[in-house]
Amino acid sequence: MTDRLLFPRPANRDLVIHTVLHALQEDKGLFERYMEDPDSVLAAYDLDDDARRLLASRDYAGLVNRGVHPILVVQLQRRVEWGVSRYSNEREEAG
Amino acid sequence: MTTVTAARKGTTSDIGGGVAMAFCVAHAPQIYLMPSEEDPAEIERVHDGYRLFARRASELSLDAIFVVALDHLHNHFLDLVPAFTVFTGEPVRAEFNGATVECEAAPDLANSVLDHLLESGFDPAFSQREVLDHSFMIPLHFAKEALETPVIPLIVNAYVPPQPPITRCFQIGQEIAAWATRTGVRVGVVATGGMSHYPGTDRFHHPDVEADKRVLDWLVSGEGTRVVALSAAELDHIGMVELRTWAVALGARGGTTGATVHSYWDSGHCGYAVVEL
Repeated sequence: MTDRLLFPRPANRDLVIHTVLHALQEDKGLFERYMEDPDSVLAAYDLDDDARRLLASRDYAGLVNRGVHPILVVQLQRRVEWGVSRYSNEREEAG
Repeated sequence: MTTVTAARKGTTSDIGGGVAMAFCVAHAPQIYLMPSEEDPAEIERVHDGYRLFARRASELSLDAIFVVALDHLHNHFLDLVPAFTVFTGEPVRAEFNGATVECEAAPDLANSVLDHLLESGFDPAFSQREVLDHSFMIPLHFAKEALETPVIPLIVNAYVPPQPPITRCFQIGQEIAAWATRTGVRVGVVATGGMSHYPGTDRFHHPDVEADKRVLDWLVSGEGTRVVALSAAELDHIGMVELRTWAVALGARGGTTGATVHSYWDSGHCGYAVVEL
């Protein structure tokens, strides 16, 4: 057993990354803009260069390796690859 | 203190209160999405398990079912992460991937158990406004057609360290049982989650099937309390952080009654189980 948890305690330094991932799963419009032009969406957030690169390139493994919570990462991955959302259609349409 | 009215349809005064049933069921998204690579017959067995707990609740004339599940960092995110949250609002609403399920709530009972827990050394949060996630939606979506019993959601912090120790989850289950006995309310507990799985990690395709078998063996042989000996690091390592919800159900039923495994399937990424305690 390794000391590092697979589902780790989120680090304060990664709060902005976690905030971006959370916003992408909760906000359909933001997600659509991110898929069209990730750099412009990410420009609104105070991210370090590594975080910006990982999020822009959707480097899921890289995000998890950095210590980003895997649940937030996999939700972005499922949204991108499976088209799976957290909400009902009604809430997505409402915005 | 909230006043509790135990009498409800089908409940007679000579039936004592307590936890009359408990189930532990999977809630993986694939059980709802049913991707082609999964065995539809095995997924149907999980759906059957959901309908079974709904029917059982009616047969037992339960006043409410506690559905014990979690928040996949949707509602609580990292803003405020309670160890336990009792949903006291109405109705119970859960959403996932384009669909919504709404169930009858039991706000008086939810507030009563909240009061009891606060007076018994627990400090649960409560919420009147929370759209629950797929850990609630998937079981309730399939149970709904047979569900006649109101639902009390209990949200356990399973994924964001530091989570409540599994012993604490077992104890809150015991305290729910004590509340039910004291108030004469007949309830069931349905825990959702597990078994071993590693979403978002490089172990996704390698669930710890041996750990699943160990836990199921413990439950079947009436040694459910062995689950409570697992440390937070061990739960993480074997892909069973969600076993905390099962521990609530175990505590509610005493932990020493032999379980019935209605179904178990290693899907290749998660052990799908339907267990009746």
